This record gives sequence, structure tokens and C-alpha cells, in this order.
Amino acid sequence: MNLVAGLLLILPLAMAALLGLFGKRLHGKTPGLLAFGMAATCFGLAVAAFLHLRGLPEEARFVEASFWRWLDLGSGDQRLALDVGVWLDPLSVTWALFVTGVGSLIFLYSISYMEHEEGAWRYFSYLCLFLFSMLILVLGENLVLTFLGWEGVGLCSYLLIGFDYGKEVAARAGRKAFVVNRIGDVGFLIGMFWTWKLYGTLGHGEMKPIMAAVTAVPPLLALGYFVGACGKSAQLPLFVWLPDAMAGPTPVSALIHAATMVTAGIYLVLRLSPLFVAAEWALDVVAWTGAATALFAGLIALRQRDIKRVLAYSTVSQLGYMFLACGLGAFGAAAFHVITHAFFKALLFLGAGAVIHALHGEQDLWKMGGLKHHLPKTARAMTAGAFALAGIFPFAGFFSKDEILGVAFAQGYAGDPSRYVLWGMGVLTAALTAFYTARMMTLCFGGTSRVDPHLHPHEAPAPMAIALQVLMVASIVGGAALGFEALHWMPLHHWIDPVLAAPPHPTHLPPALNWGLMALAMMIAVLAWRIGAKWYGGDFAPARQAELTAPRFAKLLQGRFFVDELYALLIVRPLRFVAELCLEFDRRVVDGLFRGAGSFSALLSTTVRLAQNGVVHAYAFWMVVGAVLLLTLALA
Amino acid sequence: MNDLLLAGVILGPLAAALLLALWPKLAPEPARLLTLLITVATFVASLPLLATDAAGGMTRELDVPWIAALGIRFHLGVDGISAPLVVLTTLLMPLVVLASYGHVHDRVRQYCVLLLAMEAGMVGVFAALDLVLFYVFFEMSLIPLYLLVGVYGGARRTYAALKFVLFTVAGSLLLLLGILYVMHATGSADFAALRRATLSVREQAWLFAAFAAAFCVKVPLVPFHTWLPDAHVEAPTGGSVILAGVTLKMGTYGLLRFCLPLFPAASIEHAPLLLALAVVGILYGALLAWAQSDLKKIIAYSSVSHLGFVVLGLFSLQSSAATGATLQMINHGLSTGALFLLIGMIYERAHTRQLADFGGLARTMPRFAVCLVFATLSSIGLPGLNGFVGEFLILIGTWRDHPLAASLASLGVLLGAIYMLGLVKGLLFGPVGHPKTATWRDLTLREMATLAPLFALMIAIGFAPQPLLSRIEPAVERMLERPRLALEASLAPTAMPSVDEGAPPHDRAPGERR
Amino acid sequence: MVPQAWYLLLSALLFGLGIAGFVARRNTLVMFMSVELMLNAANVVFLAAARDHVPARGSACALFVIAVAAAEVAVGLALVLALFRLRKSVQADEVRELRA
Repeated sequence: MNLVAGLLLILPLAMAALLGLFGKRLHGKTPGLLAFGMAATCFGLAVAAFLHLRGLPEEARFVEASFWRWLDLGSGDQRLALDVGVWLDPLSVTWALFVTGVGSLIFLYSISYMEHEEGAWRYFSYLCLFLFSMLILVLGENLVLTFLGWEGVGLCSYLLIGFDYGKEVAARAGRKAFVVNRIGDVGFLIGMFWTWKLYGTLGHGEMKPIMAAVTAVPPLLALGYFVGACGKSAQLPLFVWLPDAMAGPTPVSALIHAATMVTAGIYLVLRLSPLFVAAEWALDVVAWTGAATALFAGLIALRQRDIKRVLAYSTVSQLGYMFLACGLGAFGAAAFHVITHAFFKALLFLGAGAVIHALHGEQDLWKMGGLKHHLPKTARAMTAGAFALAGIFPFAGFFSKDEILGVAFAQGYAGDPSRYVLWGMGVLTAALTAFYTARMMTLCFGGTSRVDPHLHPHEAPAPMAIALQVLMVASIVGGAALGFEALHWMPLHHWIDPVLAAPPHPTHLPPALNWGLMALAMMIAVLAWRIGAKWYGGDFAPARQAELTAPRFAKLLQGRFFVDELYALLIVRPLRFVAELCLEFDRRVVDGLFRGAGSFSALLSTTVRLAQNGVVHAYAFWMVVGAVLLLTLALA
Repeated sequence: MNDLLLAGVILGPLAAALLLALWPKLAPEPARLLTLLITVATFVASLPLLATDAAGGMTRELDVPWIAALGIRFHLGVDGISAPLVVLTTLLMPLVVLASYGHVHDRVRQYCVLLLAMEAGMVGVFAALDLVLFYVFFEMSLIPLYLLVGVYGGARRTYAALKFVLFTVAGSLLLLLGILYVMHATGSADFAALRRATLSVREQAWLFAAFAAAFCVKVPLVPFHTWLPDAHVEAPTGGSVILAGVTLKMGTYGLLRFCLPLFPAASIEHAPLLLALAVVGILYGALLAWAQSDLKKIIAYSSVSHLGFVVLGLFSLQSSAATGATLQMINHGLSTGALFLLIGMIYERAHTRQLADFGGLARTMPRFAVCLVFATLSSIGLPGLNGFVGEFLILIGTWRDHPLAASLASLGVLLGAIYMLGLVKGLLFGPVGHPKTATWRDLTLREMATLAPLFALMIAIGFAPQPLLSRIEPAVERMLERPRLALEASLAPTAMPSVDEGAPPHDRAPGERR
Repeated sequence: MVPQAWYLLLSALLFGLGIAGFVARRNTLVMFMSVELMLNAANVVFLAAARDHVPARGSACALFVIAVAAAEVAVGLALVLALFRLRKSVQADEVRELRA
């Protein structure tokens, strides 16, 4: 198992280095094929690790493999010892499976997508580096290795967003992503510092028994980690980087900014779930942040014209659902939604990529329409993804989303009325989701064509199509295959729940109520979809007119609640002003003080120098005066 | 007992400097080649120094009488703290010589003389175990740098060089006074003897102030930092690399080597002040770096910020943090050295250092772009590279006792990302900024060779810092022993009248571990 | 026997003349002569004291003073000559800049 785990990390890193150093000499599809082969091998290795763990008894399902000692300092309770190694348990292997699985498909897709792009080798090198970082984030033996991956994926995201050198927007977006992520990272760091002080270790293996026994954790400690999670997983108020990150190539958006990297925050919360459960009100903060983000991003997605931005905000919104689940203590449900979301969101992004590819870079929904006649396969695949996103039975998203809403309602039912509010926010978001998804699909594929008549859209080439088909299947059956709570069919939960904290609140509803709620949610989703499809399905002119002459609230949505502007006004510009102020202060006051000291001594010497006027008689005169004075003193 | 290797590492370059100085007929290029060979040989010769004592004691000691009448000895030796710094110095020197092919074309031989004299002085500073000898080397490394800035520098070189020297000399005069007092009070200038000497709390307070003044100017700690940006901007590339890579470390090294173990009571008393100055330096330096438009000034102020981390780690008096701080001295030398080299390379092409003049270099100079991004990542502490290990250790150790200071310092990590990525974006991305961009060649083989050793070490320290840390830690432990005892004594309910009673036995085994 | 006070009075007179000449006159040669006067005023004191106390010691001191004065004149006159060549003048107040 050590070998498997080691290879899982070494292969992507070696491939990244290989392509980075020598990729320039490779032409055409070669870099892509190499990278895809590596990713598929990694998927195979992850499956092997999964099978190995499956074969172990439930309480012994973990493997700790240590390669070398990274740090070892101090002694006694101040000892800080960290290995470079791997920690395999159901949680990390689950993540490794879908990261490499979905990742492989996106690599495959990228082969064609990037074929004619300049510098494809660089792209694939970054992608391999990303896979390495993501795997070490998930599999790392201790929190510091997780942090290594955490920053590593951030770096790859930065590099890939700014992949197109010349685009000023892309460079800005990349930097923004990195910096906003770093705000979260400060929280993560402080969480680690505190954890080490309290528990003396950061290793997952050593923390397992400690976390099982812990009863009270400072809420701020847990929140430190949560701030980190908010940064990486684009939650309020740190979500601003994700929509901008869409400036990168579309497969990157699919891989990093939808399916894998952004779920790292969920992974961290799940990994440390016992700490969160023991930290009084920390979980409530998580739940409310998640619900608020889901609703907020869902609202913004209603009025975006850029197809990728719609998907980006829907990602933020779905991540909100996952945090809501974490906050409710339904950690298994959060993991479930992570996986189904990876399937359907990757599918939607790749589909969007196929559309953009077909339209030679056009991303504006207003300039699409009627594409189902030109891209029937893409349309079919994306429809499956859209249904899954909207939560329509029996597509994947339905099962996981419904489970989360069910838990919220169950806790309200068990006597906590505030949970009804969370449930209400979740249901409202579900309705919004169905509506904007329908809008996006209809504007893109339905109605009449608004495409530039010079373009002749054509279906995507084979590798892209294959990736879409596989993900389509996963988006259709992926939910039902992994769990259906109402029927007590929960293989994923049985697999992953033992390593997660037990939910602190009740999560089950009476069956009748459960089925009733499910039917309600389903009805709401279908209804919202129908309205959306009808609104945008007919003649486009009135819909456009309605969006253009929007009332004030809709303007707010189009402007994305002006959060970016708010940030600029409240944080960036004041900070910049302080920096300029510091510069002036440094130049005038601090340096001025020292230069003043210099000038003062110069002035002093100038004054004294006046006595040395070169007139011999003056010297003689003063000499005599001095002598007389001395003589007088001596005689007196 | 008497080992001649250290003396060789110091006197070799010094002899070579004399030889070059007294050989005016030597043509420039042979002189440079000769210097390159000598510095490489010095580097190779210094490598065995890394095999330090596992218990943290001194190795490779040379101890002979020097000025017998005053009890001053020529006493050299290295431990886990100084050996890496010595090797860092000898490593940077050949790289500086290599880099000089690009920008030093006049008075080459004299340039080489200065470099070699500096090398001797800097190695001597880290190896001296006698206060007077330390002072001699401390000053000896100053003069060549003064000339390096003053003769080979930019337009305002005279102003910058004078400012640099006045600041440093003002500090080191106090150091000299302090040393004289210590000799007068204890009758010895030898480090080993002084570690057992007891000075009254009042004496310690004054002496600490005198020593710390010299070292804090050198670090430089806010508010004594204003000489640094001027010196960096005017210095030639080699001068900047040495200044940032080694000279600044003399300050932090002095704090660790002399202030902490010799004046333990005063150290713990002033620790809060130094911690506060360090945090202010981290944030203030970062903000200043962000507001700059000159490439070299950005890096100069980033040094203020990074050295703040080092001081923070040292005066947290926590083992991991202080070990991390010592490692961070090396890290800063590597990453900032690389950054100054890179900026020098682009300056040789563009003859401007204004950020606004650049843009879009990633397309025309891909190799430069990769190197710059790499050095930047090391500088902002990306995990997996060297900078992270140091910063992480400093912060996690400091957090134990000073959570507020560590939390504020963590914000420096964030600000670091802001200004460094701003620099990267301004240089590499976006539309092409300079009309002549297309005519600039990408990095040559020589330039890549200059950078390669630094990058290799960045990765190595990032992934496997333990071999280095296990050498640094026991030595740092020894430096912290007395301040810790003093701290415990001051915290104890029945405070002892003199905190210096508990001078540790010299050959005590370090704490049980592993 | 002339009383010692007379010698001292003579010496004081000579010294006063010397100072007055040195401070008042602008010609460097005259200033030199004034310096000589002062030196010799000292000599008079030395010799007067030698006569009353230890003859050898006082005479030796006077000899030293004469030697120093001679050396001083040698250097001083050389300087005056150099000055004259440079400036065509030996007036002290015309040479007041300290820099070359």
C-alpha cells in the first residue's frame, strides 16, 4: 500500500516536472496523452487503495505510510514532529477517487480542447501539478501536508487562470484568487498553531484518538479552519475570486473551480468534524454561512449573461449547500453532495466548454440560442447535468440535495425552529437553482438562434464527447447508486460515516414526512424549471427587454450585489491608502528624523568652522587672549 | 584542537584580495576568472564545516593568542547556527562573481578585490568567538561594501553609501563601547568564558542596549531601516545580493549569538519591545513594499518584513521558533539573493527598474518568467519551498506564548502575497510594456547557472529541511538556555535576587529527543 | 650686580613688543621677527634665572630655544619664499583661504 500511495503522489509530480522541463519539444496531442495516461493510472491506483481499505474491517480501515521525516524539533510537550507521508482512510480515499476519476475525464477532454492552443505543454504541466497538490491535500499524513496541497492547488489555480499571458483580466483574476485564498489560509494557519498548542500534534493518525476524546474546543479554533475553508470553497464573504476565476480555460474551470479544488474546504471541515462538533457555536456559524451563501449566489446567478459565470455562481451556491450540511452535522450528506456535484458540475462546465469551443469563444448567453440543432449530443449531455443541478428526480443532484434539506427539516421538527429557516433558505435556493438552470439551458440550446451568422457550430471532437458521455451517465445514476436515504440504501454513508463525527443533532424524519417533503421539493424544482423554460423559451425579445429594463433589485443582481465594488471601497482602497501613507511617513518622518540628525551636525560644524577664517592675526589675537585668560586663572 | 580550516576559509580570500590588489598589471578578465575559481574553491573548502556537533557545541575551533597584553585571542569556531551562514556566504560569492559578467565592466580587478575582502570579513563575523575579533570582522566587512556601493553604484551612490556607513558605524561604535565595558568588567573577551560570566541586571540592560543598537541597525529593525532601500537601489547587483543575503544576517546573528546568551535578563526584559518592533516591521515593511514602484525598493522593503519574522522568532524564546528563525536567515539569503539577481538581469537589458515600464515578459522571456515566479513563491512562503518551513516554524512557535503577535505576523504572509504577486503581474503578464521588450534576450546559460544552485537549495530545504534543522536546533537551544532560566526565575513566585545564578554546565547534553 | 627684577622687566618689555608686532603687523617677515623677539624674551628669563640658580641648566634651555628658533626660521622663511613666489606678496592678510 505504501507503494501505491507513493506512486499516487510521485506520478503527477514527475509528469509535471517532465512536461514543464521538456514539454516544449512535444507536439500536438503528445503532452495531453501523456498527462491523461498518468491521470488514468492514478485513478487505477486510487481504486486499488479503495479496494484494499474495503477489504479491512471497519475499525481498522486506515493506512499510514510515512516516507521521510520532514521536521522534528523540540522535546516534551513542545515537540513538533511532521512526516512526509500518506494517510489513507475512507474519507481521503473517497476524495482521491473522484478527484482522479473526474480529473482523468477532464484531462481527456483537454487533449482536444487545448490541441491548437499555444503552450499546451505548459497547460498540462500545471494540470499535473494541480493533481499532485490536490492528492497531497487529500492524502497528506498531517495538516501541514494538507496545507501544502492547499496552497499548491491555489498556486495552480493562479497559474491556470492566468494561463493566457496577454490577458490583463486573467492576470488580475489569478492574483485576486491567490490573495483571497491567502486570507483564508491565514485562518487555516492560526487553526494549526492553536491545534498544536492544545494537542501537541498535527498528524491525522495521532489526532484521531485525540479528536475522538475531545469534548470542548475553543470555537475560534474551529472558526480559524472554517475561514480557511471559506477562502478555498468560495463562501461568503470570500467568494469573490471564484466568478473571476472563469477567465481561465474552461476545462480548468471544470476541474479546479467546480469539481475538485473548491471542495477542499468541505474536506477540511469533514476531516476535522469532531473539532467542529465540540466547538459550541462554531457549527451554527458554518450552517448559516452556508445557507446564506447558497441563497446569495443563487440570486446572483439569475441574471448573469456569461454562461460560465452562471455556472460559477451556481457552484458557489451548491458549495453553500455542502457547508449547510456540515453545519447541520450531516457530514456524510455533505460528502455525498460533493461527489454528485463533481459529476454534474464537471459535466456542465465541459458542456459549456464544448459550446464555447463551437462558437469560437463566445460566452454570452444572449448570443446563443437554438444550439440543440447544431450540437445535439452536447445538448443531451448538458440537459442531464442541468436536471441533476436542478435537483430533479432521478438525476444525481436530487438525492444528495434532498438529504441535506431533509436533515434541516428534521432538526426543525425535533424542536429547533431556527432550522426551519435554514430549510426554507435551502428550498428557496433549490427553486432559484432550477429557474436559473432552465434559463441558462433555454437561452443556450432552446428558442431561435441568435448566433453570429458567420459561425458554423459543430459537434465536439471524440475525446471531448467521450468525457461528456461518461459524466452524463455518472450524473444520471451517480446519485441513486451512492445513496437514497428514504429507502435506507446508503452505501456511501456506510463507507464514510465511521471516520466522521457523529451528528450532534437528529437527522432522521418519519418516513411519511420524508416522502412528502421529497415530493414537495421535486414539485418546486419542476415548477421553477417550467417557469424558467417558458419565460426564456419563446421569443427572446420580451425576455431581453425585461432583463434590460430591470427594477432596482434585479439591477443589484446583475451587478452581483456590487460586492467587488464594496470590497474595493471598504478594504482594498483604504489599505492602499494606508500603504501610501506609510510611504510618506517613512520618507518624511522616519527618514526625515535621521536626515535631520545629519543636517543638525552639519549645521553645527558650519557654525564652528566660521572661527577658522584663515586670518593669521585673528588666530594670534585669540591665542593671546587665551594665554592671558589662562595666566589670570593660574594666578588667581 | 586547533583546526586550520576556518582560518583558511577566511585568510584564503583575504590573501587573494591582497594578491589582486598588488598586481595592477593583471587584465580584467583573468582577474575575474581567478576570483571565480578562488570563490568556488572557498565554497568547496567550507562544506566540511556543515558537519557540526550534534550536541550544539563549537567545532573546528582555532584558538591562539592574538593581542596577549589585552587578553584578546584569535578564536574561531562554528556551530549549527554559524556553519550554515558561513556556507551561505561562500555559496553566494561565486554567484555574485558570475553575475558581475553582466554589469561590471570597469575596474573589474578592484571589484574582485572588494568582493574577496568582503568574503573574508563576513565569514569572520560568523566564525569569530572573541568579541574583539568579531568587532574587527564586523567592521572589515563594512568598508568593502561601502566602496562597492560608492564606486560601482547608481546615480545617487555617494549619498546611499555614506548613509549606509553612518548608520552602521553609529551602531557599531556603541557595540565597541559595550565590548570594552564587557572586557573591563569580566576580564575576558572570549565567548565561551563570557557565557559563564555574570553581569548585574543593570549592567546587562545597558550592554544589551549597546549591542542591540548595532545589530538592530544592521537587521534592520524598524525604525532604523531607512538606509536599506537607498543602499539597495544604488548598489550594483552583486552589492545588493551580498547586502541582503549576508550582511543583514549579521544583525540577527549578533542578536542570537551575543545578546541572548550574554545578557539573558535584559533579553527577556526587552523581548516584548523587540517582538513589537518585529511585528511592526513585518506589517510596515510589507505595506511599504506594496506602495513602491521601483523593483529593487520592493525587494528591499520586503527584506525589512522578512527580517522582522526572524527577530520575532528569536525573541519568542521558543525553541522551534528560534530554530525556524535561524533557518529563515538562510532562506531569506537564498530567495532574496535570487530575486536581486533576477532584477539585475532584467535591469541589464532594460536599464530601468520602474515596474510601470514592464509588462508581458512571460511571452518574450519564458525562462526569466519561470525563474521569477519560482523565486517569488519561495519568498512568499509557498509550502514545499524553503520559505514556508522557516515562516511556519517561527509562527507556530511564537503562537504558543504570544498568540497576538503571531496572528498579526501571519497577516504579513498575506501582504507578502499581495505585493510580490503584484510585482510578478507587472513584469510578466498583461500587455507588453516596454517598446524594446522584443529585443531583450531570454536568460543566457551563464545566468541560469547563476540561479540554479539557489533554486536547487530552495526545493531541497522545502522538502527535507530536517538535516539542516537538526544541526541548527541544538546550537540554538544553547543560546536560549540562559534567557529561559532567567525567564523562569522571573516568573517564579519567589523571584531570585540575581537571575544569573543558573549558568548552565557547559557540556550538558541537549534535551532528550527522537 | 643688576637686580633680577630688571632682567625680568626687560624680558617682559621684549615679549610685549613681540606680541604687539605679531598681532599688529601684516608683513610675514616682520611677524617672524616679532616671534624671534618673544623667543629671546624667554631666553633672557632663562639666563637671568641661570645666573642666580643652576647656570648649566638655564644656559642649556636657552641653547635649545635658539636651536628651535633657528629651525623655525629655516622652515618659516622657506614658506615665506614659497608664498612670495605664488602671490608676489608677503602680506599675511592676503593669504586667508585654507584650501589650495
